[in-house]
Amino acid sequence: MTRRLLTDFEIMILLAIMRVGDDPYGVTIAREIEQTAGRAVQLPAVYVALDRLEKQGLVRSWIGEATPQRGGRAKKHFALTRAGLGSVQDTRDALTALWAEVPGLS
Amino acid sequence: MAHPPRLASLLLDWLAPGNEALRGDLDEEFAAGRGGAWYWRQVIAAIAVEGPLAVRARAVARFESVVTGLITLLLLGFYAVFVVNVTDWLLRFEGVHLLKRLPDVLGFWTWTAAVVTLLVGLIVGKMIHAAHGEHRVASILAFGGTTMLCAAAALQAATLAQGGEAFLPELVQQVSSTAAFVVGLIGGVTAPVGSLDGLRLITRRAAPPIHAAT
Repeated sequence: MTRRLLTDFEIMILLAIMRVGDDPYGVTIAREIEQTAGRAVQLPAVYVALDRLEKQGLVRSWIGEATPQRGGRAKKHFALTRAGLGSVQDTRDALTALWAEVPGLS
Repeated sequence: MAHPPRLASLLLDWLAPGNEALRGDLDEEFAAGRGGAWYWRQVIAAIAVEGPLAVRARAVARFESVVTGLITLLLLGFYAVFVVNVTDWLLRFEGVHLLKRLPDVLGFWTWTAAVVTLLVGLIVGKMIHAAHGEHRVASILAFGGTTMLCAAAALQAATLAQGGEAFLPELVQQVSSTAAFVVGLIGGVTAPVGSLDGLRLITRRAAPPIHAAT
């Protein structure tokens, strides 16, 4: 059966959601990717990817609190679904299998 | 508290509206010390990732709103002119010449009437847009149809009052051509909007958090 594997950016986002843990939202997800993976990310791109992942049922979202620093706008929090976690594991397994026994790499 | 670049915020509202969470994130990060250049980069990225089709869909929707207002204004103007002329024509049977009573027909009152008509048209168009956001075409047709029926009824009354000398056919021709124009405009303007509905961003309802399965 053909599995739909995640792109590198998608798996970074899903892993960042899992790493942040405490009600992650756009800012904390982007910061986690930048600080941990060293990849500069644009917030709009994060939201586009999150929107796509939510349509695929890999993440769920809910509206959080608003703060004055946000101009009174509410946060949108994200969490992995069971399908999202399974997709992360599938992608990890596929990448691990590809990395294994590659000539010239130890 | 420092505010984000105003022009960038306006562009974001204009070209990439609807994502309040993103807008809040950008404001939060700017308040946390990100610079104006960073904010501009995010805005440009937001506009870019929205995609040209989504921007085009909004542009068409705005064009539709403008055309809605223009059609409303056209119908109101048509109706106002018609009612004033018919009323004047009827009152002449009583020896009252309404239009001649207006001082300076080509001056102050003419411009005042134009401004009032414009304001009424804008208000009605705004009301149609607000109250019937999903049924603007039906609203225009209902409004236009009612206007034309009223005009036809008024002219029929005028015809009878005149003693049977009918000029109704002229009105039928006039109303028909106006109706055809309106229907043609609506068909031409709204077709692309319907075909692009699926591209619009839809605000989702808040959902309870579901954490990753362990």
